[in-house]
Amino acid sequence: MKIRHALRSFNAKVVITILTVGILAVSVGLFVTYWIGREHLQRAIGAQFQEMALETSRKLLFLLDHNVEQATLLAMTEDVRSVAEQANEAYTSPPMSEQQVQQRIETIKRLWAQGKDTDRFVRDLLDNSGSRYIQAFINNPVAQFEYYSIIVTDRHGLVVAADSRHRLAYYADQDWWQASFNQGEGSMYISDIEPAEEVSEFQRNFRLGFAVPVMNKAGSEAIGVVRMNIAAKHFFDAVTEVKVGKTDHVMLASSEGALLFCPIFQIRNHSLRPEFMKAIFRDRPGWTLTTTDVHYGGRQSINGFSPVSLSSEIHPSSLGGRQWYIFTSQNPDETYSPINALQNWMIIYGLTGVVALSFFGVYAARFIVRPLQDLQKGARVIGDGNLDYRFHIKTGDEIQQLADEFNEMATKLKGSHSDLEQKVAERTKELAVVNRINQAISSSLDLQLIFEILAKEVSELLDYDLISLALMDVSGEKIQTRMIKAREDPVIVRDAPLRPKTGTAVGFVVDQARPFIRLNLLEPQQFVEDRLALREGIRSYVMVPIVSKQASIGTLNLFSKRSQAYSKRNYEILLPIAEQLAIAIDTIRLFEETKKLDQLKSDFVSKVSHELRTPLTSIKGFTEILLTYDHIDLKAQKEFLGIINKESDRLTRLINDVLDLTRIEAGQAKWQIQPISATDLIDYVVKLFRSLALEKNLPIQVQIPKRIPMVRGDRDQVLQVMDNLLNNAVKFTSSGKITIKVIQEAAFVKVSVSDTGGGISPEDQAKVFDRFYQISGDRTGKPRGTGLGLAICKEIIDSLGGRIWCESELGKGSTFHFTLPVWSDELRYAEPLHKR
Amino acid sequence: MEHVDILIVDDEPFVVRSLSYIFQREGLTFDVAMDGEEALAKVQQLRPKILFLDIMMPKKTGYEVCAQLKRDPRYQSIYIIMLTAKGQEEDKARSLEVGADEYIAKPFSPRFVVNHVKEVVERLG
Repeated sequence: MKIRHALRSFNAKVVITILTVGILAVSVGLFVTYWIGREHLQRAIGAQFQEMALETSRKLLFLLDHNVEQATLLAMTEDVRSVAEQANEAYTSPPMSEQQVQQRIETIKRLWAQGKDTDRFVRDLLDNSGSRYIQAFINNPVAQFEYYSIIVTDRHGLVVAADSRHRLAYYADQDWWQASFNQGEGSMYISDIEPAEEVSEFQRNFRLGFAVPVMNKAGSEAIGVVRMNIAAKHFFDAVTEVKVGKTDHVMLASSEGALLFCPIFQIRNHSLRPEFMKAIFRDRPGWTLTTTDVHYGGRQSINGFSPVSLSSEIHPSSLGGRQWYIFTSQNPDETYSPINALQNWMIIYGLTGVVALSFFGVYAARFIVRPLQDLQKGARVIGDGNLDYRFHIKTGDEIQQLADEFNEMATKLKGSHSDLEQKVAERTKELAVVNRINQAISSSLDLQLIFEILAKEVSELLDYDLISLALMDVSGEKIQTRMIKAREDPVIVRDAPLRPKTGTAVGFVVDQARPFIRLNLLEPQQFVEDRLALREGIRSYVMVPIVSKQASIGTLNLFSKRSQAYSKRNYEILLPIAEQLAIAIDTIRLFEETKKLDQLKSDFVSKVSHELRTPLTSIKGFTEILLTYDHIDLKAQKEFLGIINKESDRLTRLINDVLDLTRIEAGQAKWQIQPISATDLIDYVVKLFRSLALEKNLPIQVQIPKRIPMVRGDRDQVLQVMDNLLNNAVKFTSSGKITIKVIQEAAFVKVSVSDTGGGISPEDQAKVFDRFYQISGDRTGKPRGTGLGLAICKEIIDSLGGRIWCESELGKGSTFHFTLPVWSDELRYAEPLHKR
Repeated sequence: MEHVDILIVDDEPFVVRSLSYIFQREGLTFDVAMDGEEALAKVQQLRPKILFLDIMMPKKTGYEVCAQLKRDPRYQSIYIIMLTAKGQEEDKARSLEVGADEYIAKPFSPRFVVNHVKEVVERLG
């Protein structure tokens, strides 16, 4: 993987590319050079060999011609011609018949065969002028050649002169004789290379024979033939002595494939292969590549060749009727040594070139890649976040341009990055502040403390000279609470209905439920706050609404002595804070409400306890008195028992009332909702109270319109309400009257019970429906209530969807009103409302 | 000026009646006040040794009366017995806080109260 990765790197790619291109170029160059060089070398060598072959063939030809000439000269000498003429005369004077000629031939043949050196015929023949000339010619000490034999024949082929006695006397039946005599016309003839019969057979000597006609004086007719046999070695030497290199040599072959002259093989001892013959037996000199060389078969050799072209005067049957060819042969090792040397040099050059190229490639790659690597490293450094990194690449090319652009990019990035960082830092700070405020809010139920912390934290983000919090009252119409804080001063709290929101900036923001900014406060504007702020030197302010459950419950306000201290951008900070504040205020209010509710409950419990213990104290006290003391007079005894009785009743009532109340409150009361006729109900109650009222001389007046709709309610419960109200009215009224009025008001029927009693003070009015609240004042001798009657009434009426309240004036009497909804079918199935 | 042993302060007439009867039978001198303000007036006038002080009263609560008396060097020595119908620890603690000497929860045994009062009277001399 590592190697693959390394190869994939740019550096490696460049190196590989350079090497590939370089090696390819070097290889192709070298190969072409080698190829051309090889071709040229081959051609040069071939040409040399061809020249060698040609030279040799010329030399051979020259030798042949020379000997033909020598023979011709010999034939033209007087001594030779005269013996031939004399011999021929024997056939003409007198003329011999053909038969006689044959007889003569046979006779001479016999004589020759029998004859010995001492024989007369032979001795005479070898001693005639012709033979003597020939012998002189052969024995010439300066003779160039070794002549094996020279003979002369007459026109019938019988020997007439010779250097010595040879095997045959008659030659006319020989091919060479016929060719040379050529039926009297005469022709020159050269024999093939043939064994020299003149020499011992074991020496395996060869000869070359030259036959020329002996012409008459006029030169018009052949009168005999001269044959001259020369040792083949002269020609052999002429051919084979040619040598240029160490292993090259020249050979002579005959067209039938026999290797005639070869410095290595004996004459006629080898044959050429047909392919080789085909390659070198050509009409013109030349050179060729063969793989079937006589000596170096199987390897590629270069062979020069040249035909030995005899002149046209030479009889065609010469040389055994074949063609001779000269060719060269050389050890391919030597032939190709320059080519191989070339090849070796090429390889050395190539390798050297490749090595040099490699070094160059690596260097060049580094040269190219180094700046790129620097770029890459730098880019990574920048990518890792080091935006201060700068490239220092001075290559003066595109890479430098790129690096410069990178530098510019890094600069810009750094710019935007630090912008971003600054924004993030700001935002983080904001979040931290909001977070700390949230913490304060969630860990405290003290609004003032929260506001103090908020004021401190907000000052971290926003400039202000005054910060304030305004909260509306329950109705949402009046500003209830204000908390104001100057920068270093403690919080000032005002918690009372301060002023109606009308005309205030706070009211405006609360109504709009949208933030508001005053940028440039120079003179009083439309809001109340503007005037006040101006007095304090305030030039600008911002107010954001505190919204809880889709209703604005107040505002958070910042004031500054600078003008244009705030912008809409500040909403981003203030609105979330206001949101948190809203939650805090909700929580605090809920907490306070719960606390109040808890207090109410525990108050109720302790009040119930108190109210139960009071009658019990009396009961226990008087019981114990009765049990402890003897001699209690009868009147007192009766009084005490009466008290015990009354207090027992009171205890029972109390228990019932408490049970009623808690049952209604807990939603456990069994309601029987039905249409009730207020008229019937009032009739019924009035009847119950009539006697009691009459005791106190109190008339009960009832005013009910004729048409009054039925109301929705529970008969027993509504009866209890009426009973309570009338009971109170009778109890607290000593003179005058009691009036019951019924009227319809929209969807409700209102029942009012008025008395002419002492009335209830305004502060008591607010509390009469509270549990165990009993109006203070002189109650001596009056039966004690439980203090729960009106509370139960309120629970019942509230549960039935009505309202109960009282109006009263001290000294004039009181009126208790309650309403109940008019009966309708839709309401039939509605559940009674339960108070929480 | 007529001094009494005991001043009963309670707005519950039957409680007052029962205590009155017992004290009368036991020969103790006493008077009655129905609310806090009346109580303060009668203390000044009658200089009782013992004060039976109900807590839940109109106008001025027993706590207020007690605290006020205990702050006044002239009345510091009055033995104050708080009577409460609430019977809760809170009331007891509060009573002692405002300087009450004793705390009796309703309903109480008259016989026990009488014996106790006698002891206190004797102790105070």
